[in-house]
Amino acid sequence: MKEPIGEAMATAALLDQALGDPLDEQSAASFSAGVTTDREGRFPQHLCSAAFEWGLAEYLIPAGSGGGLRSLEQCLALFRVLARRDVTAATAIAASFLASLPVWLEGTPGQRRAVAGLLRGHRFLAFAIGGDDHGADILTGTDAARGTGHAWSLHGSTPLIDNGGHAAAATVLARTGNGGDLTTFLLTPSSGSGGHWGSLPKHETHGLRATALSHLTLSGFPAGDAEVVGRPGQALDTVLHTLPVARMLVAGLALGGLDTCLRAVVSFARSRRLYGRAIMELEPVACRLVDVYTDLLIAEAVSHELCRTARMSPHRFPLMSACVKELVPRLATDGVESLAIVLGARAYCSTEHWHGIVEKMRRDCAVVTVLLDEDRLPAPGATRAATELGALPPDPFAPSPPEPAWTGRLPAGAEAGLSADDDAGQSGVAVAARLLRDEGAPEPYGRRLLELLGRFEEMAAQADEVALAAGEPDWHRGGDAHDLAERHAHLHAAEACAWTWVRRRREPAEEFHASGAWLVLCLQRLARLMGAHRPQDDAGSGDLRRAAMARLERAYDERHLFSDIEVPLT
Amino acid sequence: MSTFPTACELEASLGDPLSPTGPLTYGNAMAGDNAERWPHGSLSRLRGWGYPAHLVPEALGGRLTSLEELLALGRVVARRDPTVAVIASSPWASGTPVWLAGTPAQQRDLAEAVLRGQWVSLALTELDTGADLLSNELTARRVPGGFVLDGAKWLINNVRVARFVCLLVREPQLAGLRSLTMLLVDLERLPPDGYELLPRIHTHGIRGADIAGIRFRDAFVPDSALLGRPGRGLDLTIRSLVMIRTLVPGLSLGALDTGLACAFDFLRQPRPSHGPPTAGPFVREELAAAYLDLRVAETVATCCVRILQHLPALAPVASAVAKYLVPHLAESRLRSLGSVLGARYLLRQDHWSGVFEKLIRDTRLFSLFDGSEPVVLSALAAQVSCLSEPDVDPRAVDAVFRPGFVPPPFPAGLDALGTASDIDPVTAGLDEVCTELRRRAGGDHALVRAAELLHHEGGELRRDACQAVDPRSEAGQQVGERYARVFAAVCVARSCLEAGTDAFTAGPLHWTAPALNALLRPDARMPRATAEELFEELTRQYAPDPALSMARRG
Repeated sequence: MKEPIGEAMATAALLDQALGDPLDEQSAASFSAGVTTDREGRFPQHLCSAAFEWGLAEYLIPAGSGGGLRSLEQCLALFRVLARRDVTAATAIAASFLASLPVWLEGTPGQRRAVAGLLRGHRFLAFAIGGDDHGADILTGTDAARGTGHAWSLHGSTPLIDNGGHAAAATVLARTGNGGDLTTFLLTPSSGSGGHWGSLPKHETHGLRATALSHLTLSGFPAGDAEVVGRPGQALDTVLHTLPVARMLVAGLALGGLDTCLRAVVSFARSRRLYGRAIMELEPVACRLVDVYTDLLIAEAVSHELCRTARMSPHRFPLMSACVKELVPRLATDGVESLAIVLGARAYCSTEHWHGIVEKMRRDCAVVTVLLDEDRLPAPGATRAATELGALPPDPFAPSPPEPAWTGRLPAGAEAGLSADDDAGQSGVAVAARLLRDEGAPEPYGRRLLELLGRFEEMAAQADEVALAAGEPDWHRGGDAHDLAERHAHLHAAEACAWTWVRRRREPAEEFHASGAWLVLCLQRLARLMGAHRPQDDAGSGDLRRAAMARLERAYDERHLFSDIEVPLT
Repeated sequence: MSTFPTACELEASLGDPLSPTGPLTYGNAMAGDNAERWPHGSLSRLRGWGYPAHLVPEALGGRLTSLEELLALGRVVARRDPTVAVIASSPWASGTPVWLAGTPAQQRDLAEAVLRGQWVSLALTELDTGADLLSNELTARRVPGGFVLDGAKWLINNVRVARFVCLLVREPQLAGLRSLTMLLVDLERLPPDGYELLPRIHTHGIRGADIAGIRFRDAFVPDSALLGRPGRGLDLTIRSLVMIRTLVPGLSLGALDTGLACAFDFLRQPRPSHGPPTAGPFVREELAAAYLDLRVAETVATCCVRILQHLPALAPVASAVAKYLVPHLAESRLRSLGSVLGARYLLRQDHWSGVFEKLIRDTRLFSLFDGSEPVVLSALAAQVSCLSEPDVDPRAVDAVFRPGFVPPPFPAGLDALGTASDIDPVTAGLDEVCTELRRRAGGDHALVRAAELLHHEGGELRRDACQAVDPRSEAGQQVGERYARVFAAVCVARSCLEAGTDAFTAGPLHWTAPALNALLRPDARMPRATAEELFEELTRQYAPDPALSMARRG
């Protein structure tokens, strides 16, 4: 059976190919067009339309509701390739998808049909989740929804939300009970006869400059049972179910943005000559490129592992999503900053080299990092998740009739000879180490690999001790907790990389995996991100870097996504 | 560290930066940034105050004697708008080849132009060659009575409004390291068909600046344009960059001043869902770490600019340290504060007119221009062997660490400025400093440990100095960074030891240990108790009005 991620990436490749060459200035989906609309502050309708024309809307609608979406992997892959063109457009469509998610999870058949119709009509939906003074998308005011029983009148304004100015529908949370209970409503401008639906002027941002960010305002807006999504008073559950998916989407956007920046800078580093040679041949440049490439592989591995977790071990999905949100956007923004050093002055120019796409992505990726900053204050989300396991929300894909198609579990043992239960209950690092001992360590990296795996097992044990030692009342709000969250995220990434390697090590076409090089590269990088020094004297590290560079350049030459899975691009 | 009455005067004269409109307010800075508009109003305000006079040496009719004062002035302007600071300071920076090597007539002409408010450009880089100046292709052919120019320069600040251009050219009949010559080109005297101003280049930050290129076509310039000696253009360029790099940190410091004040102000305001955020220890720790970095950065910047005038022979090292470390600290610390602020910092409006996000974009230029991070780290790695020199006297730089330092008037003594340092009296004092820190530590175990850390890192650096390392290799970059951090740590330690307990000078001993740790172990988190102590100090300085407290600090 083919892994869902393989199928998802194949679908994403079709989308990318339909959008055409991003370096073709005539294309509506080009970097040039993205940079131009961004400079002018115009919403990137051209790219959104092109993606919808291809059929993207079908992949925003679960198969269970008549659409084509069958896995989280599809969401991740599609938004990743869309974001590689323009993060702004990808974010707007991702916001629509998030707004529809409560409906797919808990909506009535009528609501599902309505939302599917809007998406198929290429319309946008609005939904905010975190990232403002109100934390979640909650109407301001203590009595935002007045009324009892089956009819309410909605008043107030939402925090800043994407698509706020042009949404054809909005998923809105409002207080409906005396105790402050929150209820989710699906509203359209036409559903509230006699009420007011409006939006405040667009808020200006420097990243995602063309995005339609504004406050949605409602006044005397009527809503009845038909507008309630799920049951009254259950909106907080809805948010908690939606949040992990939102985190996954943020990872997809970050991956797409970083892919383009790396591609643009590889192109530059090959053609730019300094001191008589291509700068690609300068050791510090090669180190930066390989580091960013490795970060991308790590970010991909944890993102794919997150999707897999949602299917195989849904109860771990929220915790894993917090780790992914902690790690992937940061790897992407740090990666872009590192690439900017290679690109030099051109990274500072808004219209140079590939039409200035790196300068745009640099601003956009910074916004992506904080799109869901619910876990930045007062305590990092991963810390909360790591230290309050008992308080975790239920998994968003736990059965809730009718069950979305992608919640279906794969049969145990269907993948790479590992049972679902094994996968969920064990440490990937430990499994990888055991396999190496049982099967024999491959040359030339096997020994180094065993050392690294051993070191990560030790670090995981130490991290648990630190977590247990955290006793002060506000410990979880301090810097040590923040550091522990980062540490957990890196250890989680090591686990994800180890599992990825365990599954792929025997694939015949992947010598880079079979030799252990891939996992050594990822674990060495993670160790450095956790404070270890770059190995200087190890001759093997130079060989490894050259091998990684060769793989990176091959993907560039063959116009493949920088990925562990072959995804042919336009 | 000195406070300069002139800088305080300037700060006071500019008024409240939080006023909704007016020159050199945050609102004005953001409006100009959004519109990519040249800051006419703000520059005119500075001209009215007399800013151009501070860019011209006293001997040439200006008021410039101390580069440390110039650093402070640049910082004051950068606090309000780094774009304006870059433009306003550019006549001094672009004119450095003239201050260093111009004939009396050239110096007089340039001084008069700057005092009249005219602009100057320093044109070094070309589209395809960047930092590799020896590969430049703009040529100056010798003809009777002068030169004929052909070729283009790219990414040049103010070139479209400049009267004078300090132009690095290749003389085709020369070869190798001595193939380049510097010319002072007066665009007012050049036939209009001899050159073309290229379109303005849009940039990530400093969006109001006019950055463009210039192309010369068979343009004749007279012999009198020759700046310095023929074939010595590379040498003059490097010496000029040493001077400029030493002053760039003033811009980074100004941006970090405002970024920290802005973050402090925002984070102390209670918000509906979070309560009073500064109650959170993580937020306090982040603000304290930023405050510490600011203190460290200003100490390093001050020591390095003093070294330039006091001991120019050490300036090639000191300028690279300042140019790498201060912009790096400012940029990374602003990013960290941005993470604490969350999504709010990305808005171009609301709190403090949204200036925080602009500061992040603007500061990225400072680690890039006139010597990017890799370039200055390579420069340091190339000079690390100077640590192997025996019998270097640490006393030679004692004066720069004293609060009452008075330099010789600029540019006196700068003919001793070279392109590389042969000795390093700052780092030569490392062992002595460590001993003194231990002696003064008393029961302060943190200070003892910090002294040991400095001693250890110094030892590692000396080992580096004895090994041949390619400055352009990855190992070379790491050696360059270690050198910068150790050099800076010694500057901080020596300044603290000299300053005693005056809180408004380089700093009392109580922040020496955290400062050394921040420099030598930048990824390590400071103990919470230390963070709380620094946060209280920050609060005393910035509350109740962060913008005004900046003005008081001058």
